[in-house]
Formats: sequence, structure tokens, C-alpha cells
Amino acid sequence: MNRLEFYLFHLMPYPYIPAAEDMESIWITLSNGYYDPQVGHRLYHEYLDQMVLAEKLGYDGVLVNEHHQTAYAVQPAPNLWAAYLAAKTQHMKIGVVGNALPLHRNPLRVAEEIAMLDVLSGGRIISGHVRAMGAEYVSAGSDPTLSKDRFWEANDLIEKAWTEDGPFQWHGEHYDLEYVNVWPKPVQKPHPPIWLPGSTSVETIDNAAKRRYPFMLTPTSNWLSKSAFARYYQVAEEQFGYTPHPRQLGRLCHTHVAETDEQAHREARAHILWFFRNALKIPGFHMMPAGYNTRDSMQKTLEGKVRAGAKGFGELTYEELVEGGYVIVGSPQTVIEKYEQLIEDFKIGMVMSAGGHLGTMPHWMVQKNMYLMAEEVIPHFRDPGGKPTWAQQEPNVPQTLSEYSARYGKPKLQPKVRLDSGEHIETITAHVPELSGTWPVPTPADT
Amino acid sequence: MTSNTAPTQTDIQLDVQGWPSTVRRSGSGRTVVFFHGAFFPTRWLPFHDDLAARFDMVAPVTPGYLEGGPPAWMLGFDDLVLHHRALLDALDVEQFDLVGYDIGGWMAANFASFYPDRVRSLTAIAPMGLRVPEAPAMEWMAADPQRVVEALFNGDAGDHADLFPPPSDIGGFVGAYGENGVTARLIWERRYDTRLDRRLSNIRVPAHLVSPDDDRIIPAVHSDRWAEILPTATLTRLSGVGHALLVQEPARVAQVVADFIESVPSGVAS
Repeated sequence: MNRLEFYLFHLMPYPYIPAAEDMESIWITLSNGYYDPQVGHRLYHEYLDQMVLAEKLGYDGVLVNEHHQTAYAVQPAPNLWAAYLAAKTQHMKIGVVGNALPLHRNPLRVAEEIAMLDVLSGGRIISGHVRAMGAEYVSAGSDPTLSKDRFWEANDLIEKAWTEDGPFQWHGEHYDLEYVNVWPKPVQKPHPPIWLPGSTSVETIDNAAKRRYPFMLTPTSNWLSKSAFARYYQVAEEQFGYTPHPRQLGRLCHTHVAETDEQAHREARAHILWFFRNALKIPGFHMMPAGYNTRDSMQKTLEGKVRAGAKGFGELTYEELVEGGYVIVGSPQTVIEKYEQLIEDFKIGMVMSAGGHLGTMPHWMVQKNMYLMAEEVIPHFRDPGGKPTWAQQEPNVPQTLSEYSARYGKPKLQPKVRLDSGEHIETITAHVPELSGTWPVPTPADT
Repeated sequence: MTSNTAPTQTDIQLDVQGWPSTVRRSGSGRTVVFFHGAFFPTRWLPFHDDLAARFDMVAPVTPGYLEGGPPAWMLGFDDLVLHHRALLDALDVEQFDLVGYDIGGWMAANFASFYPDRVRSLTAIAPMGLRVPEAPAMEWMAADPQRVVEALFNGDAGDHADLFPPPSDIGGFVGAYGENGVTARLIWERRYDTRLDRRLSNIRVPAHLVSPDDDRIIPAVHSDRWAEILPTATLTRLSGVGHALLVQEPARVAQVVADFIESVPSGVAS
């Protein structure tokens, strides 16, 4: 088994905005007057080209995500990107990490779209479920005080909609649906993998461990990552009696690789600083608006930060970002050693943002990063032969019609129609008289 | 009236339909019930003492504000009407003059429209709750706290800059954060209620609007609109103060509130 799965994670930022000091926040109040659709068109295509390229290079998958009203990540409708990627690729996994469930008035929309994508892609979809950031409750005008409850109810509703035949009723605290009967149903059984992307929130980690959902940790220090992953293992083992598979744990940690350590830092430094200082410019009153957390959980968060001596992202020097493990930058050998350390320290089986785009990085540099990852780093963590996981497994759907026919034959039910005579005929073979009996009936011209 | 007396209130703990509730009470005479606003929600202010010097002042703390988060059962103002009615029943407070500040004015108007027989008079101080498209209330829940404080004190926060403590003051910060979370439950998705116009028009008890002329949180035109709709309303506009008028000029505000209440006969409400 491959020791690590590699995912390309993309935020699709719009970097042509004022410097951090000249904007209150990259969320909510940064005017979209700065957005030039002509530039946006070029960026989208570069970003999507990078993601499509990932399959040829041998990545295990690509990850897109949902954010609203921000230059930090210009992808308010991530399922659209998943549809594009499903059409442009054939094999790799496509993760939406994730859909912000509580922002939907009816979460079945997510169940439907993910199921559509799973059928379209042949069972390649990862369905990340997120609560959405505090800022998104501001821009959506949605009550943050109910968001946790709505999240879990929506998650459970979606899971049931995928796994139980409908129609069934759902009469919850927040969603009241007389008919739950989602068409289509997903290819993957029992349902597409549900991931919980999150920061170091104990509640998220505990729930992920409880439900055996893979947990994807968003960028933070090595120190906090260690405690987050250790907690997942501890909760799984002590409270739920199982040892997690390493692929239940992934870390989002931007990696930049170049020919030498010096060259890697030379290339990445400005883009990393832009990301942490500008793209993460979000004041507390946008990040955690009133009601997003309870008083007690906010107190724990703040006390934890004080205990850890944690600085805000924008206050960290480049050296602190590298040394603290917020990013991994270096030669192939350095990156390999740091990934080995991640496996040893955190017992994780997935890395996200493993090479690829960050901040303001130009297209050519992103591709160079990806090629070097594929050539020099990824094979080190693969079984002999270097195949990604998707190439080691049977696809979730037949790849050819003959394979399909051999495996499934005809659908269980054949479509029929009642004729005026009261007789039912099978429409698929209706045009063959030998099979349809009296059909086709003579047309008026024949009589 | 002066604002120099030491706080005199007693905190009364009550179980109201299973929810441990706090009511602050002080003074004697005719009973005045005060519903606090989103600002200074849990503080007993000199303003309260000024009213307590003339009345039996009963000030419930809205559920959640002391607990750091909204109760699960509290989804809107109607739940608070029922809560407050049960709370006042438990206190044997049958008839009273009702005063509400900020969102407390909104609560008070709902109470008066649902239980008109309990209310002798209604006073709304810088209330919110109506839809006034030409001058919407400031969106302050996700705004820079410094800007909010400046707006509250109409440009001069003076000694009150600590009203929203910074995160470095963890205790103070999370206290305010928890209080604002309760307000979020009440007004995040509903900064006004289009049904309130109709409810106000049904209120028949004497009503009084107290409106700061430089209110940068809820523009004064909101109070004008309240006064237009409330059939019995009079309006007092106070110059030189902002939305924090209870703190800026407690004695002056208490005076106009008290004078109006005393102008209303203290007999049984009709």
C-alpha cells in the first residue's frame, strides 16, 4: 500500500488586490470592484489546467472548496469545478472539501449535486462537509448560532438520502421534508467518502473519529497538528474501540519543491508571505463573529493560543512559517525527509497541497513544482511501480461498454408502454417485430 | 435626578419554566419593568438606579446573556414574550409600566401587543425592529468593535472604549462575545420584523419614544416611524446624545422616562 496519498489542493485566489495594510479584510468588505473578469478568466483556466495536469502526473486527487465573497478563494460554487474536472479527467479522485452545509436552506441540494457528480465521474467524488467560516455567516446573512446544529442535521440527512431508498420523511429540528427521494443515488457504496476538513477544533476531531470520517487538518503549526492528530487516534481508540487507518488523516500543508533548498526558498518565499499576510488577512470580527462560537469555546480557543504562544498568521516571519511546519519548502530530498517526519510524528496517510499553487505563484512555477513533486518526491512514498491508489484499484464503474455489458447485462427493469389495445410492450425492442409481437402497428399510410 | 448613588439592586434568582433566570430589582412604588438592549445587557447602570429612586424597578436579564449563549428554546422575540410573562407571573407583578431600550424596545412592543392588559404604559428608548429602508440600522455584529464603540457614543467613546474588550483581555472579551451571541440569535437574520408595524398599530396604552438625535446605530428616523405607527405615542428627542444615551446621560434619560410614566394614571390598565 502506498504510504501517502497526494492531493493537489486549490484555493483559486484572486491576487490582484491591495496589500494587507490597505484593506480591512480580504473577506466581506473587500470590494469586488477589484475583480477584473478578464483576469479572472485567465486565472480560472490556469488553475483548472493545473488541476487537470495532476492526473497525468500521478496525483491521487485534487481538492476544491467553497468560499464566498472573498479574494482568498474565488470558488463560491465548488461543485461546478468538480463537474468540470470530472469531464476533463478519467481516473483521479475529485474532492469538494467541502460544501458548506448549513448555508443551504435545503441540504438535499448538496446530496443531489454530489450524487450527480459521483455518477458522472464514475464514483470518484470525495464529499467534504464543512460548517463554513464565520465570515460566510456574515455574507450569507445566516444565523451562526444555529450553524453547528444545522451542520450535523444536514450531514445526517445527506448520508441517509444517499444510503436509504426513498421516499422517506425527515422531520428534524431544522429541516422538515415530507419527501426525501434523491435522484440520482451515488455510485460509491455506501456513499461517497465524507471528509471533515477542519482546524484544531476538538469538536470536529471528536466527531470525525466517532463517525470514522477522514479528517483533513487546515494549515497550522507542527505543534498543533501533532495534538490534533493524536486526539483523533486517542478518541478512536479509547472511546470507539478502533485504530484509525492512516488514510483517515490528512494534513493540508503547502509544499514547494525545487532543485535545491536555496532555489525552493527563492521561488516560494514571496508567494508564501503573500498568502499568510494578505490572503489570510481576516480580523477576528470576521473570522469569529458573535454567535459563531459559544463563549466557553471561544475562551478555550483564546487560552489555548496564549498557552501555545501562537502568533497570528500575518505576524509570522517566513522563517517561522518554515520552521513551525506551516509550509514545507526545499529540495526533493528535504521534502522527502519532512514528509517522512509527518508520517512518523502524526501517523497520517494523506498530504494535501502537496505541491501546486499558493497565493500569487505564477502558472509556470506551479507546474514546475508539480512536475518535481511527481518526479522526485511522490515515487518515494509509493509501492514499486509508482502507481497512485486509483491505478491500483478496480474503477468504480466499467470503463468500456463491453465491460459494462459483461458485468451488468441489462438493467433490472425494462421500460414499457401501454398501447391503446391495453397491451404493454418493451420500448427498447419495440421496433423489432420479432421481439415486439404485433408491434409496430401499421401506420395510417399503410392502411 | 442624579446618577451618583451606589447600586442598590438585588439579584433575584428564579426558575422560569425550567430556565434559571435572573431579575434585578430595586426601589419601591409603582412597578416599572425594564427590558435591556444588545448593549450593556447585563450591567446595572446608574440609569437603573435613577429610575429605582422613583419606582419599583424590575429588570430581567434576557435568557442566555449571563450564560454565554442563547438557550435552544429561544428562537425569536415571541419566545421571550412568553418567558417574560412567566417570569413576571412568578414575581406576582401583574401590572406595570414597561420600558425597553434598543432591542429591548422591540421586546417590549411585542409584549405590549400580546399582553395589553398587563401594561400601563410603553416606553421605547432608541428602539429597533422596524424596517426603515432609507436609514437601516448599523450592521454592528460583524463590524470592527472600535467603529461600533465610536458609533454608539456618536464619535466620542471617551472612557467607554473598554466596552468591547480586545481578545488579549480574555475574560472581558469572551464575556461580551457570549452576550453578542445571544443578540445574534435574536437579530442576525431578522434585523427587523415586518409584522411589527401591524403589532404596534394595535397597541392602545400610552406610549413614549425616547430618541437620541445623533443615533449612529439605529438612526433617529426609526423612532419617528415608531411614533407615527403607535396610535398613542409621544416622542421626546434628546439632543447631543447617541445610541449609548443610557450611559452618556443617565439622569436626563431617566428623568424624561420617569416623568412620562408618572403622567400615566397608575390605575388598572384598560
